[in-house]
Amino acid sequence: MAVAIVVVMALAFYSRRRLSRRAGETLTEASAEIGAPPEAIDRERALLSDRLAGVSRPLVPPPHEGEGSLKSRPFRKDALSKEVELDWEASELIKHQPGAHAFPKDFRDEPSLGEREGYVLPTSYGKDRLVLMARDPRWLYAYWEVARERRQEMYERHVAEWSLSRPVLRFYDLTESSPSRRQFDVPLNDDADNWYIRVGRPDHRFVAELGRVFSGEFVPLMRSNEIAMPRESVSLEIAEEWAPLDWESQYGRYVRKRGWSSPQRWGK
Amino acid sequence: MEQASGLLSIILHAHLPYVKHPEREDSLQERWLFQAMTECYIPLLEVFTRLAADDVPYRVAVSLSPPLLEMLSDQLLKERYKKHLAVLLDLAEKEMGRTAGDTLLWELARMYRDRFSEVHRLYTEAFHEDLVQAWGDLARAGRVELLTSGATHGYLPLLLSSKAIGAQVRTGLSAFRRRFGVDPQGFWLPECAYVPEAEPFLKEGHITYFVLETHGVLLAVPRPRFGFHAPLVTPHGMLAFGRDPECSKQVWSADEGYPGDGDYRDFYRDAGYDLPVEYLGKALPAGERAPIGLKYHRVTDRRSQFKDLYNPLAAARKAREHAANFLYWRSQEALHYGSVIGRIPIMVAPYDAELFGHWWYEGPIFLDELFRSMARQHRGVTAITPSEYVRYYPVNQVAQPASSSWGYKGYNEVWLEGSNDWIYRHLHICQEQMAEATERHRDASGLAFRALNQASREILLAQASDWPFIMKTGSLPEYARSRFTSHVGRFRRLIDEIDRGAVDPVFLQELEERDSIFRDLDLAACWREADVPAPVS
Repeated sequence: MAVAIVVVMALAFYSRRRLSRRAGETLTEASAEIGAPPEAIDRERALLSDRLAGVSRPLVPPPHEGEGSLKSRPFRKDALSKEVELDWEASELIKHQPGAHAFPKDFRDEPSLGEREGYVLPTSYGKDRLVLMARDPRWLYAYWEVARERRQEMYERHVAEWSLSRPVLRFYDLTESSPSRRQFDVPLNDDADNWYIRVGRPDHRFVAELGRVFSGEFVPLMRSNEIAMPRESVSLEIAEEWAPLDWESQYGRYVRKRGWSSPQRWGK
Repeated sequence: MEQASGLLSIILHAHLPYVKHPEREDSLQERWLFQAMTECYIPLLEVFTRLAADDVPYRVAVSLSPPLLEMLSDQLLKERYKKHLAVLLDLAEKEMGRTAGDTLLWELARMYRDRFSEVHRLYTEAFHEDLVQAWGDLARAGRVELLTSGATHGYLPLLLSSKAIGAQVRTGLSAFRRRFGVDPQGFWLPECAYVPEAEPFLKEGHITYFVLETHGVLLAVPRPRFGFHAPLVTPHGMLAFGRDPECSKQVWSADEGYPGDGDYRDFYRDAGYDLPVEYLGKALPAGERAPIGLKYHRVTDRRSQFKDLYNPLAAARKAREHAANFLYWRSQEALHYGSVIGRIPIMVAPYDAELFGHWWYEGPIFLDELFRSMARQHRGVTAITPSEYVRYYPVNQVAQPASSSWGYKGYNEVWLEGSNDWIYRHLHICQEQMAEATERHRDASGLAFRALNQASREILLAQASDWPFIMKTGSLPEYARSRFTSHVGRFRRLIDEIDRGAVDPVFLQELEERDSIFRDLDLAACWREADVPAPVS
């Protein structure tokens, strides 16, 4: 009953154009059919309706059965970026199942432009990038995006070893003088696109590369920005004409105690 | 000047995110602004105006963030504020009827009625509905030194790109210049977050000083001889003052700070939660329960739910006592460190302005009393502003301050953690697109020019440090997420329309009315690479 009402509303909403659903049609496509932008479709309700109808979400199988880390990990199709989705769809990696209903959002109680516009931020910007950010003197945060073509290219070149390889962040410590410490690797999960890393080296500069290790050999995909970690300790450098007096006993304890932030803000 | 044993620089940083919502009356977020006006900005102006009228030679630095300057000058918000005050006044009258017969409560209801009508008088008559110019008048009278901050209070270290940092700094300074006609001397680094990359832009804007969290100065290279009791000269020749941790602790600390005293008005107990919704009527934003500023109880005991009734006289007395106590400890600090470091120590005490009056209702009385005692040369502590420091000591140690912030743990973690880290992958690329678009459409005119400026407004609004902060602290995180998403979404749509040469004039105009911050400023220019100042070698 409720479904019927919603469908009627949908029809009224979008110039009485018929919402026709074909097998294998995604929410997005169904919405395009009726002239509604994809963000106008109430995804939650559509998913619920799918569930009630006993239709499972489309599952994305790994690129090739039996191959490595992608295996047996269920992907929700809507967790994919549109580009990856289209790509995989084209190569028939995704099998769509019928039952995705499109529901228009109810705007009656949502007068604000922000909600009416219903922006959905893209999961991908189609650009290779690896960005490092310092969280504090010892931890940094990295996020990245690999454009589809780059990934595909690498995959094709290393098909045979792909299953045994895994993505790796390789860090270069630009401050370190000891050669053995100048570089280190952080292994990643295949589906991660961001990571917190404890580098534990305050006041050092870093740059990183994202790549994969094939048979012990690191193959880089891209390089990050350079990042300077904040200092954590008092400088040992002393300016002769400004030599500190009795410094440790006067100021030492304030170095250790930090972060008297503004404790409260508006809208507690 | 000679008799001073210590210098105290009080800095009040006033900031709220840009929360104009023309599309609906009664948004909760506009209430934040209205409450801050009623409880903080107007009472603080009242205190400082009265001190000036009494010829008290006080000096205080006040930072007014650009979003606040814009909101306080906004015609629609001004009109709405007056309506809001009228509603409050009505409610207070109603409360006098409800509490008639209960001597204690009725006195409090009357106190609010009188207070609200006084605030109304101050706003309309004394300050002519223009709080920005009221601050400007105090500045021109040589009492208050005004600072400003990043355009939308963007958290500079996490913006990463120099162009984005530049856009925040430059736009903030232009917004200040437009309101006051002069450059500010000081710049409030949002959240006291320092990165060296901001310096060229501050220098370009003729800034002479900024304030850092304590360890930003203590960890400087080389080691600072005077600790946080004197400023450092940065590589670009500006003064970097370190926050005095003792001043912070006495006022801020949740456990030891003054505002937790049992005599002070309790912040959390509010008639907005206690009285029936129907009775409160329009005093509640959109019928939702929220604090409305009628609070009848005192802190009593911080660990107990039992709250005694508020006694304004006892609270005011306590505020004066605390002012005397604060000054006593400053004089002790000055005597001690003066003898250690061999120069008159400066104690830099920056606070969120909203602490005084909103969180700590008696805060304005505290400040009033503090400045009066100092003017009496009581205890040898003199009030100055940071820019006046060079009159005492023109030569200062050169050092590179350390990256730091006043957030929890002292670095970037508040604004970069599980709840909010996702925003940066959108923010950074949009910043880049903005900078590229201003290059690509250098000669844009008409609709495209307007759209480019609006795109800049959207991306600046998305950069506000308030959104990741609110996402983390769990207060209305969905509002913060939706604001961030909307600004990025609008930005992307505008850039796309500009690139396709198909700007939708209706959409553009609607955005110009909604996100109307920095109207008439040429924002696109702030992003151009060619204008990035060369580093000093």
